[in-house]
Amino acid sequence: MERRHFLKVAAAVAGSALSHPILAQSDRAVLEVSGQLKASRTFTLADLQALGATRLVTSTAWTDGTPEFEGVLARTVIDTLGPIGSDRVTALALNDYRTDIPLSDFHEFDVIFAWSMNGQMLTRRDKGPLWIVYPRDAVPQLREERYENRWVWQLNRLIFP
Amino acid sequence: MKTPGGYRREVIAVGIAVLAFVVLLTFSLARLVEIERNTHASSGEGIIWALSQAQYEIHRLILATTLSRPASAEEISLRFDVVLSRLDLLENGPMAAQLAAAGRASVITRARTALLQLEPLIAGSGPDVARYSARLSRTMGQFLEPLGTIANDLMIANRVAEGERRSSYNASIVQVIVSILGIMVTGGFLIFRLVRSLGDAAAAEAQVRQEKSFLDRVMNASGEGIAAFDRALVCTHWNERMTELLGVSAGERLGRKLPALDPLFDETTLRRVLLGEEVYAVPDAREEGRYLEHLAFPIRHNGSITGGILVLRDVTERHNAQRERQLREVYRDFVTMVSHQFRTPLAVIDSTVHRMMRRGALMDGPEINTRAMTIRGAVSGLSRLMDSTLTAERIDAGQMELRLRETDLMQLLSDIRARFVDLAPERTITLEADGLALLSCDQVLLDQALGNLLGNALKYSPPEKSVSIRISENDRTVSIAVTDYGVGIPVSEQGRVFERFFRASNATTVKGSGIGLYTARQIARLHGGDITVASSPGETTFTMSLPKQMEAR
Repeated sequence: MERRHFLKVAAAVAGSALSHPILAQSDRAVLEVSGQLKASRTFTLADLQALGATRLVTSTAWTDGTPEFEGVLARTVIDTLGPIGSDRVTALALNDYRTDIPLSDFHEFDVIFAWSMNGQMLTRRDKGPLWIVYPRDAVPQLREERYENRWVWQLNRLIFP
Repeated sequence: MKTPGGYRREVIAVGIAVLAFVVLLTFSLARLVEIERNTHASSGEGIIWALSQAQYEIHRLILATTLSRPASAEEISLRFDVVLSRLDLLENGPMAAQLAAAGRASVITRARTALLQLEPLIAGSGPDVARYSARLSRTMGQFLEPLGTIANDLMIANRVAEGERRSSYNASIVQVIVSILGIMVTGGFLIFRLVRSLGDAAAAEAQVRQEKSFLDRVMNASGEGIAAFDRALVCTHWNERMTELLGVSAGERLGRKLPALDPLFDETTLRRVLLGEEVYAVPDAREEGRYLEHLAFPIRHNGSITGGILVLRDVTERHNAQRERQLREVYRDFVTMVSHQFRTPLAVIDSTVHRMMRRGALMDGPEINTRAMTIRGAVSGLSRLMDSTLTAERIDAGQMELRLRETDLMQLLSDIRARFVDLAPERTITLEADGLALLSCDQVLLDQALGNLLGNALKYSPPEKSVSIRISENDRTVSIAVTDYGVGIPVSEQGRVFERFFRASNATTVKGSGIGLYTARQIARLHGGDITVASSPGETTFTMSLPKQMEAR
């Protein structure tokens, strides 16, 4: 129900997403956060960018070479939420993918919510609006399936269960 | 215990076991590393999921545009973008490579091209789904089946590869298990060998310890003092008898340098022993009146000298017995000599008195005087003999001892010389000395001994030849050399002149008892000295050497 409400709002603000998919994103909510929090909230891309940009160069299991990602540190975003009554977060994607991520990941590793790859803004036609990127090359232990499951792309919701 | 061949075989067996252990361990480690690497090789599951997701999203897009129940424009837009993102995933990175390898990459490219061609139509149609619904369904629907087929084929290929990988794993694991069994067997063998050699070593050590304790007991049971030292002259053994003899415990000696501890073991002697010499030292009197004889000899090990052994023997009893025997012999000889010499003056007195009785009044004054002088001479000879006899009382059984007195040897010899000059004024007797020659001795006995030497010299040389007495000394001894220029003593008989009653073959014409030299030598020996002889035709020298300090007895 919440989701449908969000879509209505999004539709009203964005108009036709098909004709201007990227333009539409800057003033539109890209991430909705809810669950064991004081209050649910949404972030626009501008909100996230205002928290500070971090660059991360790393290979991935889905691309060639070592792309350069830009995004906000996941823990910075989490820190803005105040006290959290949970030790993990369920990340949901536009393509209905979902997985749980321990919050400790964000403190142990410099995980980012990336909005661009190699200078190109991510869109929902590839991995946008946000892609959870782990520093896979810097930390060898991240190079395995259990962590690769947490690289959620087309991320649009975080729920603290 | 073990034959050399058996030992070599054991060494070879252990060597082979170690080699096998290392080879098997290396092999199983290599196999495990290989398995570990293969574990990280990604499976093909991802692409099958991605293909089915693409298929599913295309289906959802078609469904969202169904005429009977169309979704909102926003929902359609989302579904459109999600399909594109699914195709994008398959067109990039490792998945694109996998599809290219399977020769199926073109399907994805064609699907994306077809969808993007529809975008202007869909965007332009707004909520009017009917304008593109049929075309979208037809265009994109044709990709559903190929996507399924690709996923199907890839799944089978993937399973085959998985199966192959698993069987190769199994083979590797079996090899590792066999290797580990081999490692266990060789390791077990090595452990067994180790335990056994530890046992052997312990047994050998116990045996060595037992032998050592046996040796210690033997050493301690010995009546002789035994000590050992190593190449650094450090004491390594010191038995109980040694402690008793020297009054120094083993604890005070062991591990310390011997020469620094006891003058008995002077460094020069010990060094000589380390050079391979066996050293024997004559009995030496200790302060407490004991006579210790010592012997030192090297310890050889594998042809090299590793140290030395010192053996100390208490010979006091033997020494005393020998000394007692000497004294007794001197006494007996003395008595023999005295009784022998009593007869001559007695015979003189007897014959003179006999003649006086026969001649009676026929004798005139001067003749009586001459006869009386003869008798008086004989009597004075007798009284001298009596004096000697009285001194001999001292050398009685139980009271045999030397009366040592500090003596001026020069004075003593002057007296003796004067006595002989009185008897034979025609002889020349020279007396010379370098140094003072003070020594402690029994004057009466030494007088007798030297008198014998001088008497002999005079007796066995012609009257026109002189006799010389020369005193010389060094740090420890004084030597008195009495030289005559007579017939000499044949070389073959020189060794026997000190034997009792021996008389040289060329001296039988001269009157003598054969005990003078013997007695003289015994007396010299009682003083810790000796007499030697050097003789050639025309010159004979008897040399008496005496220690300057004779320890008080």
